[in-house]
Amino acid sequence: MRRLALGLAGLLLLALAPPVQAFPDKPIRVIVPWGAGGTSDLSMRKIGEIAGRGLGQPVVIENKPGASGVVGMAEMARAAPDGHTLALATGATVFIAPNLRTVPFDPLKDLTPIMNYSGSYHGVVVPAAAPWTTLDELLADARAKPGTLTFGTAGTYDGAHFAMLVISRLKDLKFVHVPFQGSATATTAVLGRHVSFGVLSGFAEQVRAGQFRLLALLDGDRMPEFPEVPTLREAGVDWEYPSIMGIVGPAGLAPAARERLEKAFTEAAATEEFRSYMATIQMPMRVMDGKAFDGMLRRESARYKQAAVEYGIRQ
Amino acid sequence: MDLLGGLAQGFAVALGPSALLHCMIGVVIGTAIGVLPGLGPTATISLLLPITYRLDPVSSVIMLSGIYYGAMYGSSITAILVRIPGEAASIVTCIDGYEMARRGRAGPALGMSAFGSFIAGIVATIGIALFGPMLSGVAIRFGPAEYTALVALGLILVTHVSGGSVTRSLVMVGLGLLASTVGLDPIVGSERFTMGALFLQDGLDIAIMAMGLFGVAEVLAMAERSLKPSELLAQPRRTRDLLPTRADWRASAAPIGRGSLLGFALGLLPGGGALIASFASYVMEKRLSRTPERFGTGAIEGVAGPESANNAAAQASFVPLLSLGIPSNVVMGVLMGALMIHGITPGPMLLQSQPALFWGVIVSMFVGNLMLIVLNVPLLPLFVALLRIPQRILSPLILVFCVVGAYSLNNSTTDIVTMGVFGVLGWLMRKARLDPAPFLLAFVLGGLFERSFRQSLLIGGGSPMIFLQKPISAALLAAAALLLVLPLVRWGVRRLRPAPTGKAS
Amino acid sequence: MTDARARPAPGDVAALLVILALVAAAGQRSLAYGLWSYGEPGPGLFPLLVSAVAAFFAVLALIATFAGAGPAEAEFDPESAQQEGPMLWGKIALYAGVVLAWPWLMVPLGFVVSTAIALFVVLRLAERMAWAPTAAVLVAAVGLSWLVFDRLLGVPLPHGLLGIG
Repeated sequence: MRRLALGLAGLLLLALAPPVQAFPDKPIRVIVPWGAGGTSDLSMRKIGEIAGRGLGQPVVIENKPGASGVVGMAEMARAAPDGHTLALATGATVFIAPNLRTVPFDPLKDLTPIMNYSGSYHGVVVPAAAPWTTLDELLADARAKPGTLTFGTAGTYDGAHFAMLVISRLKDLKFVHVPFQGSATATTAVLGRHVSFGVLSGFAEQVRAGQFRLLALLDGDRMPEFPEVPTLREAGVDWEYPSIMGIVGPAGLAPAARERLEKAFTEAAATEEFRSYMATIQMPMRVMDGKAFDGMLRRESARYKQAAVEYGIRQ
Repeated sequence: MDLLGGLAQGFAVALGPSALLHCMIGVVIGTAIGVLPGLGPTATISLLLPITYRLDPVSSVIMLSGIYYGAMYGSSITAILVRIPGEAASIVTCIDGYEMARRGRAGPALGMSAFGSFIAGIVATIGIALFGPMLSGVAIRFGPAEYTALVALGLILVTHVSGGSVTRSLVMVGLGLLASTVGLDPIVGSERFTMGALFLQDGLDIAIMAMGLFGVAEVLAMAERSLKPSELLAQPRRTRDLLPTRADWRASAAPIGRGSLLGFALGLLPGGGALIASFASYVMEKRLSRTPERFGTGAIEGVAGPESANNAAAQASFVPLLSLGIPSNVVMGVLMGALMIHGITPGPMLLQSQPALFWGVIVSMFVGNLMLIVLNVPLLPLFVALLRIPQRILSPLILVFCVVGAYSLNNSTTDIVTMGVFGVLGWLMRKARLDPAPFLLAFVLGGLFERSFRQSLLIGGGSPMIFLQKPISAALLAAAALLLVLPLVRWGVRRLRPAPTGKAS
Repeated sequence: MTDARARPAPGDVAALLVILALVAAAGQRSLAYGLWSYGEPGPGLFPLLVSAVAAFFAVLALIATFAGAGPAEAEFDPESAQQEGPMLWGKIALYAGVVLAWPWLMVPLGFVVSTAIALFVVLRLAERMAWAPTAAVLVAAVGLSWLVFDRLLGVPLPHGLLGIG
């Protein structure tokens, strides 16, 4: 009886005591706004698994695809900013979609960037049998025959299409854009020479096999595997599509939780386990801390917004 | 590597204990997943990806592909028993397979579906072994113009699927095509018919609509009036009586053969290959049949042909993945991810660098199809026994599975709402004697059609001549025109030359 | 069934009229989306064309219905052969209501509770099942589906505000 009373008193005390600020105190849910099985989903599952060990709570991945990632991102933005609900952000969701349509979240006001760990390379590829060997030759040919060169992308208004719009504007060229559904179908169309060239991601295998020639990268840095291929900027076009793959939380995320998460995910990204995994699924490592990630989001969002307005892209 | 050497190596790999075990696990999970609506092979393979980290690459791909074709078979089980197509490719099976079940012939329908798939599996395996590396080029030859022509042909075939009046099925084709335009415009990216709803930006989902129009609508139709006690589905109990009879085999042999070849050819193309194969086979059998009026009332040819076709197509879709690195559907995309986890990038160099993987996976499909037969034939009485569950218990259970299935696709309750709305619509369609099958098939083709049509015009500089300049598309369009004109010509001939009975129809 | 062929069924006519109204509205929207721009088909062209196709054949079907050439009832309602008695409108309404209300309950109540309510309505009210079998089927169905989907397959079924499930 006394034991019971003691126990009850203990329970009461526990219930009355203010909750100890031990973040995280339950599993962390990361919304991946894309379908399961893609490279973004796979990489998030892996980094989540490793970071979960450091956090002492499992990181649960939930796929919520829809509207270029906007559905999942909007759900995350509405969640409580206690650090238990996060989302995976990619360029299509934070740079492109909000600058084309009205979306139910503001990438600058409704997100707290935590850290960035990856982002796939996009490049300008031509079939091996095509005459062009540099971006300059391609652009010169486009100038000579305006409106006849066709290029395939993974879809309307993805980062690649956006970049080509900017290139056409900067260099006063006219291309015909043929949007496909996903980079796989676009790759097929370039292989079959149904389009003149492609602006895509996931081209490494075809380049290695000698079926594609990679003329330039849309990213800010060169690809370690093809170090001789220049970036757009180096090739004389002042534009980049910064591929990001980073973890974000809702606006006003508790600072303690943010720091804890940044530390855990950054440590996870630095492990040999994660690096070798990313190498096998052919995803580059691009680790940025929260501050750099935040700065980059702000800088690029502003540039994309300006370009969208200037070139009449926004609908 | 010569062919026989390759096959020998394939058998050596696929008959190893680890490969056999994982093949078995794969087809069992696949069948189970196919039976549960909504939760398709894509989601399952994604969920099981982490498990395959620890396996060797060959075993993991064998297991994951087992899930894929196992699910293809499993989805026809629900299509036949309760009229829920687990996968788009079994929509056609809902027509005659379900009618057979209602007439107490669920056993032969399920059996023929399994045997047909098995035979199609053998045909496809031989096809891949003989021509695989050569055929890889086919996928590349198909650009937007060729797809437009292929889908045009498919759309003309759709109108022949329905048993009812052609006029009414054309109304449904029109509505299906209209439904496919909901969402973002494929070329310009502007919103169409979304009414501001975010979830409609990606368009309507085929699986959600199929569950609503077929599964939920069927439950509502069952609830309409009381069942006649005397006509409660009488299904035989003994396994022997559940197997297809000699007459069934005679009727099905040719459809299986034709379906396998058709499915194999269409499966090589990325995109809607398996689906087009299934109903193209259905229409072909209906056309070739001497008794086309039996189609829609439980003709076994209408199960055997399409089921063989979709299985052959499922296997053929491995060719572009393994030889070009092009995933022809979402499942293949996930499988590609699985290979990449193991540091193998599917692509043009795979056959040289990983011959054991290539041939092992091909041969394992043959082994897996055999396993499906061995596992499923003894289970026939059990599946058929499901139909002995009283309707008033079965109906709510079907609803639960549809609801969970719809939810699991995107983890979203919005999808359940959509399914419910289409369920009520489907029931209303039946009351108005409008067939949902042409609607769904046209819906699937609609997206592909509009996209490739407009892509072709972009490439051709706005001129439709591109369709006639490309030989493949010109040939396909000629076939489509022939199909369109043929009934008219026949009608004209009948008019000019009075039929012997003197009855003008 | 023979008289159904002789005169148009009111449901038939109503359905075709609803379809005509729907495609007319869709066609009108398509015009606003733009039919042709810069020498290329615009977003509205394809929806307009397919609306026209649906409308054309819907009119043909209407004419056929009035001409008495509508399809036979049994052709599209295979259930009718195995059913008897009057239409049970209440039962259908309950079933349809459950399907449509289910997802709205699932968000606040969670999967387990909402499914239990849905099954209770269907089994007890629509099917008039006795209490004991209702309870048995309900517990088995909810328990099994929760086990298979949530536990075994890892589908994150909604837990609701109560956090049950």
